[in-house]
Amino acid sequence: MKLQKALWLPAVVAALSGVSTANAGSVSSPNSYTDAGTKVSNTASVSYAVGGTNQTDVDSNTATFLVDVKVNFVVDRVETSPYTVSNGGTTKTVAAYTISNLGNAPMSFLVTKPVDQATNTTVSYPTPVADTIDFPSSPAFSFTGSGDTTLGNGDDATLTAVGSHYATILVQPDETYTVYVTMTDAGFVGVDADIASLLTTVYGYKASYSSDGTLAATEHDVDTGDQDPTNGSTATSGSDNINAVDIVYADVGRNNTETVDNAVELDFPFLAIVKTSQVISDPINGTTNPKAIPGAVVEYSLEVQNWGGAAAAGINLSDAIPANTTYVANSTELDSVAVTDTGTMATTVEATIATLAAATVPGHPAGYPTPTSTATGTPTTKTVTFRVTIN
Amino acid sequence: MRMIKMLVGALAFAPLMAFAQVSLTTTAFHIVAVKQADGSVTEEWQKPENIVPGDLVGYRIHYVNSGKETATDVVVNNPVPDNTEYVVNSAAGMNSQITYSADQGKKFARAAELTVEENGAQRPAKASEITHIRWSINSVAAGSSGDVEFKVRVK
Repeated sequence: MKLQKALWLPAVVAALSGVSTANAGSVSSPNSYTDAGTKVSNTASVSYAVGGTNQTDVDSNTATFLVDVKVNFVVDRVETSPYTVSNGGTTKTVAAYTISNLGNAPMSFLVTKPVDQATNTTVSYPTPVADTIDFPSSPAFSFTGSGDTTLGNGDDATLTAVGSHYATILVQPDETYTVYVTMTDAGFVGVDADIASLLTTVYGYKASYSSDGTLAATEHDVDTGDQDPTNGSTATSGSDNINAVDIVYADVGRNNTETVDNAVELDFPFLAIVKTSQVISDPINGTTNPKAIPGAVVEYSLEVQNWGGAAAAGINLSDAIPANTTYVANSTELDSVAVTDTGTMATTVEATIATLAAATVPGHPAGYPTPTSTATGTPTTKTVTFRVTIN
Repeated sequence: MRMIKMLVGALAFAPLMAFAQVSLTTTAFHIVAVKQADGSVTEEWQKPENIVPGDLVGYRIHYVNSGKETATDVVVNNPVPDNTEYVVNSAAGMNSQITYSADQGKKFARAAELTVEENGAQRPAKASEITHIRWSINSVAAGSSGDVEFKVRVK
């Protein structure tokens, strides 16, 4: 008599011998997953002899179970660096993410409206960027989705509002759906290169599977239905019927919930003014090595620099005439082009720069953001000059 | 007239029952790794609930010889269920010789000797290619019983 393996323990507990069970959130090949609702049956048979005479084979009962719904999905950011916003008033994408169904049943998902994240929250793009400013309060977000062509859903489908959330169209196992969140580019307050980050939460909503092993696929909740995660969306508890399709959360954290960060970067003008003065002439030396004595003509130069990633428009420059000096009439020039004097010139020089293009290489001047910072980038400039005489 | 027909039917059935002295019962379990109080992880065979792709399922086949004679050359056959994959080295059973088939039950061989044909040559079969498991038990005495088991992973 051969003894192949003497493992037999009367109890149903045996030592685990290196077998791994399904890992939460593991990404294997969902393509080969058995569909939820599939019935798996096992029947054994036995042949034997009595007194050397073969007897009729006998079948066992059939042990069956239904394959349950494995809820597993991941949410990934689409962009590799923050979207830019500039208060330009146009419709801009401010967040985009993919929802990939790694489970074994077609699933639809709920997405929240993105919420502003706390300052200093880091978003890894993978180069980390830290949140420095808030989003405008209560922006009107719009949601569109694309992908999932096997279901015949065209691109740019508008997501359906479900309560305070938005539902995506059904996503088949091993398929990915992309959600774009847009808003009107307005209301941002900050300086060029500031970062505002958003957090979106995605919940499994409904799965499509046969609930009793029959072929008809219908939608079943994988969420408690109120789409409120604080009310504890839960997987089917352990005491359910083995001949019904249950729901098992196998996503990261096993909570039917995934989150994604997105960020926008302000693309603003960043203006700086550098003021210099130079004695042009004095009554004694003329223009040769003039000194700042009474009666000398002094030229002030105001160089306006744009270090930002966006053009600046309608820059109004004003500079008070220093005490003990007198403005030289019609001496104001913008980039060497005469600027007509206004009525206030005797006390305050005024000039308007219609536009100043975005920086050649966006950056910041020396002394920003800290007093010891050195300059980066190359600004565009326009220069206003005017002259005074020393009284 | 109807009564007589039924009676004949019952009589015809009775002798068959008498000869079918070996019977089988199959039970499915969900195999779950459970962390114990002492920190060790053990494998528990639980009711077949909440089974999803990737999970392990154990089948236990209980055989009983309820007859008055010893049954010999007892062979328990079990095809690996559809949508599942046999887990290597998981078939077990006291006093049994275990053989496998990778060709829908045409040929059976011990695990180490099981081959499949690929490009005209024979190569060792993989666990995932096993289609049938067979336990050969020399004899089962009258009134005695036993179990054999194997594990699969849900695809």
